[in-house]
Amino acid sequence: MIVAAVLIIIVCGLIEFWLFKQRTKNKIQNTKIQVFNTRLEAIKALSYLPSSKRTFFREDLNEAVNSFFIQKKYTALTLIKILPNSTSSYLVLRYSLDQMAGVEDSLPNSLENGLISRIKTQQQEQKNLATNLTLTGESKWQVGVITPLFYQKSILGYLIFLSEEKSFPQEEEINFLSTVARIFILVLEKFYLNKVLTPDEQIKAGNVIW
Amino acid sequence: MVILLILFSLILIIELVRFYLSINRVKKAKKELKKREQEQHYLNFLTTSAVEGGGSVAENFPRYLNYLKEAVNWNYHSIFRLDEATQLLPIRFTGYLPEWYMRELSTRVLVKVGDISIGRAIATKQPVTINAAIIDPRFKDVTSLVAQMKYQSLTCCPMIGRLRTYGGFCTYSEYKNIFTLHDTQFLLTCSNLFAAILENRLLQNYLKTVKHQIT
Repeated sequence: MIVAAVLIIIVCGLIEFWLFKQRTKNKIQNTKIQVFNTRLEAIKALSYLPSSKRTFFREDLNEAVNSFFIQKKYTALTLIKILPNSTSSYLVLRYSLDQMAGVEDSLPNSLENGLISRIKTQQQEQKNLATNLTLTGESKWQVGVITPLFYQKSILGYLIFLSEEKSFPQEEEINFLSTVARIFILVLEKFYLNKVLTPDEQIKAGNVIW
Repeated sequence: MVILLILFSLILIIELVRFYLSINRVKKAKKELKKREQEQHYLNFLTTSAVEGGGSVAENFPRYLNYLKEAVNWNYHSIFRLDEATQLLPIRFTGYLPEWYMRELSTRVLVKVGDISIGRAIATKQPVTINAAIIDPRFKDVTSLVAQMKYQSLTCCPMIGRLRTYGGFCTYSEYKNIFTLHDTQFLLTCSNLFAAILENRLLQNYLKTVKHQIT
């Protein structure tokens, strides 16, 4: 009987230890699920923008940035748009969590230039580049991800996401940021088509039987 | 001693129950996590395809629906086109639905804006979820079709573009009460992106036609 009691105590102890490990694992899984849910929230909010009726690009961009900041990791976003008929003239718009209105500039700063030249020299202009910024001496930002806005064989510009967290982005995070960048491209395409076609032409095109 | 042994046995039973519940919890969380990853992957695929261009609307949309089935494993999907002149909704694309279903739904059932689930989704511009199609009064006209197709629940979302409402997007499942709020949000995101992609594609096609005529 004593042996049976001791055996039961040992088995219960092992089960408790295993339960403790599983609780930790479950907690990590639930945290990851929450992160995915937040990302879906951000993408859902962004998905309304390509169909929005706003007439100015900055208005859509402000709304896009507000939607993007639903996820908490990346707290700064910079859009670098290459101006038409030029490869070295830019429109730079910088947004951060505490400065939602966006700061406009005509040239990328040293950090942004560094990221652009790295992505160009690596001939990865269709792909993203995630980099550890602590090496560059930028004290505030720990990680930067630059995503080219690549549309039908040409580059429209770049989106740079900056984070103060040290964790390096995994593949699914890069995929999420790429999805966000492509929604920005759809918004840019919408404004381009709105500029090139008259309202009557657009209505005529939209009424085609597809 | 016997009492102690009984007590310890009870504790062991409780521990075993906790063990079993913990396994189920971890399995459920793992399944949810995999589903989220696949949803993310699908949205990545959809936006990549939209931006790369190429292919007509008739080529791309069935591909999007088929890939959606592989990604999230609901049974069927379909896209209805809105005919604004007649306010009818003929079925346009399907994912994994048989051809006879398309024929039946196009000829026997004329879905109007405001009718059943897809019509209501378009009229109200909100997603509509039906948890038990067989007993839902909105489906009384198509009960035989629903029984034949063996779908129990469905979610319909409108496809609203900048210029107009293009139609609606439906997802069907063979299980009752399967669509959660999260699923509805994901499907609404997909339908928003479908509408944007469709609109941009139609405008691009028109632009190419105009440019071709000029040259």
